[in-house]
Amino acid sequence: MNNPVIKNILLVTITGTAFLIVSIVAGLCIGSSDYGPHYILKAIFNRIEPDPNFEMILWQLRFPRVLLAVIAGGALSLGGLVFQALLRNPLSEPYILGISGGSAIGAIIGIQLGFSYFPGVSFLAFSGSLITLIAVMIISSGNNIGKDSMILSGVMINAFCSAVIMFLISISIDYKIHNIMFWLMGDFSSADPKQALLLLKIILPCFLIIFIFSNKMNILLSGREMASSMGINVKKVMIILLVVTSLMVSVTVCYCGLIGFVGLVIPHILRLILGSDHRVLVPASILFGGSYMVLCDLLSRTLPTQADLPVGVITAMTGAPLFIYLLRRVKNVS
Amino acid sequence: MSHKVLKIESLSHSYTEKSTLNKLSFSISRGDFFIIAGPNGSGKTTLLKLLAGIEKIQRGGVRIFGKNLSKYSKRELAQKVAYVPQYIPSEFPFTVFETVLQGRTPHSGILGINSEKDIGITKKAMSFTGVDRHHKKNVGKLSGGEKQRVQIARAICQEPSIIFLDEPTASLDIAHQIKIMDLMKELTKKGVTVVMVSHDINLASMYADTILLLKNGAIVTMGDADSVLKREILEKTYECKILVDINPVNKRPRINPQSMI
Repeated sequence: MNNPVIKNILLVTITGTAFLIVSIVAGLCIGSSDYGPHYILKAIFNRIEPDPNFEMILWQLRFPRVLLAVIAGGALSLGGLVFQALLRNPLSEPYILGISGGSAIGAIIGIQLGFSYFPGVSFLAFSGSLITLIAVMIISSGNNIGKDSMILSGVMINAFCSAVIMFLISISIDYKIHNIMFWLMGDFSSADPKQALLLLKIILPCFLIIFIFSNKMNILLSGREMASSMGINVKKVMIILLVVTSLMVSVTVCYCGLIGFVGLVIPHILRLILGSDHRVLVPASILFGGSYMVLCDLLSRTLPTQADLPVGVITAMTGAPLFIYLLRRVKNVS
Repeated sequence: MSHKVLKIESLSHSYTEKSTLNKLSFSISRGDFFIIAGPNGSGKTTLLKLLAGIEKIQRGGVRIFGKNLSKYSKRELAQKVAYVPQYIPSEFPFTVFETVLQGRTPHSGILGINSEKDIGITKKAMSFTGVDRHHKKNVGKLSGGEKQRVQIARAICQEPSIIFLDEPTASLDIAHQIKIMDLMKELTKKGVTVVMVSHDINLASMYADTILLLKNGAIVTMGDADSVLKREILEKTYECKILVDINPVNKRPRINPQSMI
């Protein structure tokens, strides 16, 4: 088949997968207890008898952590991509719109009620994300509300969520308060293999559904009327995509905390290179978003800091400047 | 030419309490160049959106090829009818080729993977509208007239029997206005029915087979240019002084609004 679209999808999937594998290997090999990549590769492929300490570090600590980073990176990048397409605003991102914040409130309430991560906490986080999403949509659906106002309302919802989160923390007599604070900035250190696999099971179907709707997202970029006249049931497609994306984002927030700006950085860079076809951008966002997160996490583990650095610090440090740059550009265009 | 592709029966529509359209009944023949004109707020765009199946019909009926509009599935309708809105956002950089190719959506599968045939139709639509030399450019970087022609190419790519356009010449200079109108006229010669909302009565006079004059959601009159574009009708509809003479070249009525001071 020499269809250009299929060719592009395959090409981006192959390069993305290669990139992801390299990042994963780097994520597994590099860390504070340095065994060296040579040793680790040999151990993985059963060429030597590794020492049990090392097995523990590799499979119990680094592997789930890297896996979690891959899933979270893919989910958050894709989340950003979908929101940008549906709201037709290149500045949209789950964290910036306050949707991650809403999930976090739900999750904290769940944790304090003593629910288990799945389904209790995840369900509450999902509800939280849907409520904030609906709030953003209502605020930005007015006739004269511009793109900046949508972002502005997102920022306000985010500020409100942060306040509620702080309040919730302050009224709890939780001895693990340090953990919650850490989780708030995004963190993979508590990853365990079972959790990571469960998250994978929820998020993979979301990836698939979004990919199936990727061509419809292309058409939706020309506006709702246009899409409707091309035979697309706009309402149905919007609702499915928004619900699936919120689910994906909120479950990620449950397990990994608040990690911002990934959904802004990755889709933006990919669009510059690959254009606007979402059939190509969806797999690209998942694969390159996953790689990016593994590398950010790697950086947060290996930087010479006093303690572990939350990965959200790294993503925000790279993402916030880009956001400001994009904001200026969008303003110049409109 | 007497075959009616569109039949509108006592169509009414209202936003909130104010009614925008009041019991309209008329029909449109195959291959007709049909122009809807009228003052601001007369309900032209609403009527167009209702006919194109974009706005939901509240009361009355619209039949397309004898079948009730509400009985069509979205996809089925999109294979017969194309719509070119007044404004199309272009924040996201699609190329001209990609945009025109999107017109094949109602004819292709869920991922919109296109066949050789689709690509052939796309190329033909681009050369028909004269945008083929820009095919690799971003639509956002084109001029207003070129953008409009890309949208028309996309609509043609849909291979519709009826094309609805909402003021396609509104923001264009006269040369580009004529280009667009010529394109649409050529389409009607191929048997495509063109239904257009336009503010420009002189363009309507030059091109339309049928003009529908709308005011306050009701039909003032409908017919060919000679019967509709009369001084007394226009003065009453637009509430201003108008001089109507005959264009010496094409012998069509020419409308000259007069200053009120």
